[in-house]
Amino acid sequence: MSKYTKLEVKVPDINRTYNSGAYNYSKPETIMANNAMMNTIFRDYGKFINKWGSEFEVDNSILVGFIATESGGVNAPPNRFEATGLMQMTPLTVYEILSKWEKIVGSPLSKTASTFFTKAIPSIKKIDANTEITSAIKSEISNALKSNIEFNIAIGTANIRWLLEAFKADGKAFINKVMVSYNAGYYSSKGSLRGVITTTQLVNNKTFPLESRGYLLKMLGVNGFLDLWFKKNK
Amino acid sequence: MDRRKKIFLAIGFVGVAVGGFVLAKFLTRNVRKIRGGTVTLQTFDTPPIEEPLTE
Repeated sequence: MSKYTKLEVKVPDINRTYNSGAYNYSKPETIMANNAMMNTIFRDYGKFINKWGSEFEVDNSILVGFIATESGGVNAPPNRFEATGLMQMTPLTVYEILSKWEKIVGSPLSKTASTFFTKAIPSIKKIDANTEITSAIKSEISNALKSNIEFNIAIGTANIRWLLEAFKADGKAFINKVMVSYNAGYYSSKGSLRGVITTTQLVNNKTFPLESRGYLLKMLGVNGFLDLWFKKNK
Repeated sequence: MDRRKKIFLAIGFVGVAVGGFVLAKFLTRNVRKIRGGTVTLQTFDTPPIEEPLTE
C-alpha cells in the first residue's frame, strides 16, 4: 500500500492556453518544439526520472513537465535566486524539505533516498529544522545541485512529493497548488493555498505572481506539457 | 431447481457481470492510472482562451 497521498488530476484542467506574445502554446510550431523538448528530456534523463519518480510516486509526465517548465531541459547554472539545474532547486529549499521531511510527509525518507542524499551531501546529518543553514552546508548543497544531475532530479522530485503532502486536502493531493508553490515558494504561498482550489481560480487570482499563473497554463492548460504528453502517450 | 432455471440464473449472473464491467469501463473511459494517482483526460467544447495573462 502506498504511503503517500493519492493525486487526482484533470488534463487539461483549464480551457486556456499559455500565450505570452512570443510564445503561444497552441501554435503548431510551439507544439512541435515543446513535444521535441519533452522527448529530449525523457531520452536524456528518463533513467533518473523513472527511478526517483518511482521512489516518491510522482508520474513521469509530471516530472518531464516540471523540468520542461523550469529549465527547458537545460542544466542551467545558478540564477540570481540560486535556482540551479534542470529542476531549478535552491539550496534553501533543499535544506527546508530535508529538515522537515518527516514532519510534513509523515514518514521518514526511505533507505534508498537517505543513502543517496547522504552520499551527495554528506552534511545532511547536520541538517536540523531548528537551525539556520550554515554557509558550509549551503555551499555543499549548491555544488551538488550544479554538478550532480541525478541529485538535482531526485531532490526536485522529493520537493514535489513534499509539497503534495503539505497541501493535501480532503485526503487528496493537488498538483495545481504544488505548481504555484514550487514556483512562488512555500512560505509566500502557503496561506493562500488552503483547501480545494480549482486551476481556473488560481490562474485568475492576481494575488499570485504572474509567473506562477503562467506556470499553471504551461503545465495544465490546453496544449500545455501534460496535455501534449497524454495526447502522445494515449 | 430444474435445469432450465439454473441456466437462466447462470445467464443472468454472467449478464450482470459483463454489464457491470462494460459500464465501469465506459464511466472511466477517460481515466488513466498514473504513478501516484489518476489522470482524467478531458476535452472542451469551445476553443481555448488565448488572451495573455496580465498582472
